[in-house]
Amino acid sequence: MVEQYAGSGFELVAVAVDAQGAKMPRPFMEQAGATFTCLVDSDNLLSKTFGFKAVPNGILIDESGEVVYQKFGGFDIRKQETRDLVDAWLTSGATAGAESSERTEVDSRVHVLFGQGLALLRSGDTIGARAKWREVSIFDPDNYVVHKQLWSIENPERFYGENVDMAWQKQQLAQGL
Amino acid sequence: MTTGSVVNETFPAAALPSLDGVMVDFASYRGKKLIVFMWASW
Repeated sequence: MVEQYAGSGFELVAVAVDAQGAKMPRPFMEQAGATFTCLVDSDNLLSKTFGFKAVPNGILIDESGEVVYQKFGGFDIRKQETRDLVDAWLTSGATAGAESSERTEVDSRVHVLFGQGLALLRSGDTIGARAKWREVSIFDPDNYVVHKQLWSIENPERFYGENVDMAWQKQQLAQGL
Repeated sequence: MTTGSVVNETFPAAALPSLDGVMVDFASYRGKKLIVFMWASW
């Protein structure tokens, strides 16, 4: 999806947000034949830093390390508007009035509960981890970075098969799960 | 609640592991344009 930009004088880094580590995103990146750098954020480090509750996100950073544009949620290179923005920036360095997403303040309790759940998950206590993350989803229901990871460990068959089952997710939300 | 945008601020110091566990510091891309794309398999 992004291979066409390769060699255009920029670097692309893809960050997979996944508490379960590299084993989850690896098959997707191998299937895509990714030639760019693929990193893994298991600790919600970037969510803490940038204040976002969903992905996919894009951040454009100039040569001096300055953030010139950020889009949290819905950054999709398959969309024409995203491609136009990226093309213009790579060509001219300008982001031509494209509106960046605001940073959302994520309550520190979310990070504490997520971290506690993560420690439990890593110690093999999946049930304990689910309980902590369930607390997050009640406390901060629109935090999809945590909520969807909870679903993915509860119902891996809905996430790691052929396709992510979006209809099932809608049904879960409708039922308040 | 929003706290404003971080646009026009320096990308925070951060390093994350690659799929193979090698730590990569975002600051190592200074001098080049960088696109950070965050996604998930879930």
